[in-house]
Amino acid sequence: MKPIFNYFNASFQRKLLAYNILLVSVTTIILFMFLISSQQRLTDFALDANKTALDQAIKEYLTQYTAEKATSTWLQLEAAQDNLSVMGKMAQNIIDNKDELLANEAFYEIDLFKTDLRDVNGALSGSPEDVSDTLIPPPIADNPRAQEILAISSLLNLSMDGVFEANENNTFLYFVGDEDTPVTRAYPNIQLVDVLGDAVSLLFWQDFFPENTAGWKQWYTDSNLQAEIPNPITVETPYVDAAGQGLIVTMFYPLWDTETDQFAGAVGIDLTLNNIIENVLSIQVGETGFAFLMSGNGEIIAMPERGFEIFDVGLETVQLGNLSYLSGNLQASEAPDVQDLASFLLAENSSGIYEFGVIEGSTQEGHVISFATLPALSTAQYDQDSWRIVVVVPEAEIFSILNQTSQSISQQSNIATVISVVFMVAFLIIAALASLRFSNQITTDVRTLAQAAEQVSHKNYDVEIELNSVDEIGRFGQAFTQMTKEIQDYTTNLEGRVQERTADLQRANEVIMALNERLKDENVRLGAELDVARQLQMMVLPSDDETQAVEPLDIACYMQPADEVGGDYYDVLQVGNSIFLGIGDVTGHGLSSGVIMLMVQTALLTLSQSGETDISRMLTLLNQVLYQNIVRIREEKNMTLSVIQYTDNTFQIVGQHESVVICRNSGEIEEIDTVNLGFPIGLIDDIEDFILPEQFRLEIGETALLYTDGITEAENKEQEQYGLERMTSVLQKHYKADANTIRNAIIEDVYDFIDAAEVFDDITMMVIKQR
Amino acid sequence: MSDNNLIEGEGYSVEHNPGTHVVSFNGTMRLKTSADYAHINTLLDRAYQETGDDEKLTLDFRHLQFLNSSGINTVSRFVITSRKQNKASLQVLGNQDIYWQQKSLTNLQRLWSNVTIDIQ
Repeated sequence: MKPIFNYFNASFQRKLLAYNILLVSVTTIILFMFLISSQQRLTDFALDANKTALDQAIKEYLTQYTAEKATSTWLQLEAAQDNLSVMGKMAQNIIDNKDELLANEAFYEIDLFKTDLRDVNGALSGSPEDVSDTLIPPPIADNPRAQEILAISSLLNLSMDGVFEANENNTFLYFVGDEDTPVTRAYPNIQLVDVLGDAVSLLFWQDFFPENTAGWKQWYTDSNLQAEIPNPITVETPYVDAAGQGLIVTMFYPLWDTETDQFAGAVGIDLTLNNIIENVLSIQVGETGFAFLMSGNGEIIAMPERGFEIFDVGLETVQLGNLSYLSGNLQASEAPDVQDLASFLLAENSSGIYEFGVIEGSTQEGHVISFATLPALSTAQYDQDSWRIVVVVPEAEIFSILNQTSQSISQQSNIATVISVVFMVAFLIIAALASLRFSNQITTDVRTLAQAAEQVSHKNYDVEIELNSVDEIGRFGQAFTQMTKEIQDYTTNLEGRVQERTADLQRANEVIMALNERLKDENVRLGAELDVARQLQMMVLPSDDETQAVEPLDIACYMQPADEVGGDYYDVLQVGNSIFLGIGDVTGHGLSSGVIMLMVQTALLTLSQSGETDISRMLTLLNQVLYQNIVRIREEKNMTLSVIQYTDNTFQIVGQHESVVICRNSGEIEEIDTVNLGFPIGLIDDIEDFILPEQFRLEIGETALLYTDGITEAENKEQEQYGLERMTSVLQKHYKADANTIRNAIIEDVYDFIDAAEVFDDITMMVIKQR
Repeated sequence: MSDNNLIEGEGYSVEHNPGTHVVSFNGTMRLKTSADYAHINTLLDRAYQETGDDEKLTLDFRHLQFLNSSGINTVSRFVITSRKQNKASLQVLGNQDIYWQQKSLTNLQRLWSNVTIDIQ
């Protein structure tokens, strides 16, 4: 990562390029992702909507289709019933007019109605050439009433063949007499007497349909039932014809003796269900969808083999011509979901959709089941039996169209995605190329500038840069060129300038040299002056002999004038019995300060020698003299000065100077402030009013310290002042020693403190110890 | 503020504020002679002239750590000069923590009773 970063960081152009590409890439990718996500959402929505609509459409279609199939199936059953009704009503008319018809014997001589019976094994039967097949079973062969009924039934010959042929599903059309005389007239003539074999002796109602007559009688005598079910036709459970005619259903139209209200027989029709079944079985929806027909109690009338597999119904194969079908009962299935289906189909009395085995995520194939209910048929007991036609379609096939749609939508979506990716990549490439060109273009000038700057740094100022930009970079280039020219100008003309400067400096040097010469003279003069001043100042100080001559006091003095003398003064005078001490400091430095000090010394000595003993008066006079002289010599200077007169351990002091520091024998320090004892000398002409004498006493061994501000204001390199405290603490350490020792200790301490720093002022001190 | 109202030297400054009539001394003043203090004297004299008769000129020494004897002499002579003119009164502000001020400033009032000393 770091090498890549360094690569891009090394060049402005690369940075710009990287930035551009990054910006375009991020924007494009975000946009692309948004686009893809939108497209996916749209596709999903379309598929969902499509599926819902298609699902509904297919179910509607199925429902309608099934209803149509139910209708067409019912039409065939209805046609058969209509067919039977025609025959039944005709037979009822015959029975209603039985007596009159019997009375007209000539009527039966007509060939069409003529019935020549012959004995066949005890039974009476017409000839095979007759239009209709006639049969009187052996038990009633001797019953004249049987022959009567058979005779009048011959009128049916008029239309039996017509009615029979009116419906291609008819396999057998027949009239059977009442319970006691169940004679048969049937069409076509199949010679029942032969076909029935041993069964010919059986009585039709008692032996074949023992429960039917009771049911019919019930209907006939119950007007409510008649109102509810106006159609008297009843239907038997379908059965498989022994003669190989397939599945047959028998319908009866019961007949009545309206005079006696007794059962008078019935017209029956055997109907083959082949066409209906064929119709049902031929239904194919989708690739493997199928239909089946079942009765109202779940009995399957027709269902292809596939159905039995799906619904797991115990089955029985029935061969019907070239068709084979299976029979069973849906309710008999052991599968719970099939039982649920059966309950649903049999409970509903109309039509609907049932989703069988449709379980989300299941591998089991689901089926959509559409069913419709046919109008009801009556059983012999007038129970209503509504057949169901059921269409079964695998769900996968229903949705195959939908899946195809989905696939094509997905395919289109994928194509769109691929195109988007191609466009995006193409766009990124174009953007990168554009960035490359753009960054190259705008950084050309920057690089030109950088190269020019490098040349300048190698002192090649002959740089001509031509920039295309007119923007900030362009202006920068112009400024750069200008600056380069100026630098070149400076460089080229430097020598000339240096020469000019050198000449200037030489002239200045000459002036300085001249001045220096004068200064040297001045210094010599000043040095001499200062030497004089220092000598003057030192010259008038009392000698050690003088100070040691003062018997009652042990006095040690010290003075070190500064380089420029500060005009410090001290004195020890003994005039007769009077001992005078003085200490002072003239303001300023130099010769004039020394001269003033000399004046003061002279004046004080003069005054003391003159016999004046009042030090207040001495100070007043001294001030007057000095003031006038200072005016005269035009020096704006003055002086602090304290004068002390000593007598018998008592010190009388006047004049303003530094404080007097006293160390008692206890080591305790006392300080006598002299500010209020006088006034600076030479400042004003008369200081008499300011003078206030004070006195102090020293016991033997006690010490007084006189000093100038050269000690207290001495500074070290840190510009700290030596101060009064340092001095008094040294005094306290040595107060029992003699004056010399104390003086030396203090002076040593002061110089230690000053160390290498400059000494500004004279350093003066007088240590006085009472002997 | 013009340069006439401000003097700056090595380690010190003296500044005159004509608006408030205050001359402030700062730092440490150790000029060798009274002549070296002449420009300070000039500033003080002008400050006094610019101060009205009924007004008061304040000399603020509270931030002046040290003034040598020549300096004290200069200030003393300024007070004497002012006394002779007898116009505006003078106020001197001092700092009780600075040793030299305790000794020297009281002399100023003794020179002229119109000087008030305020050592804070």
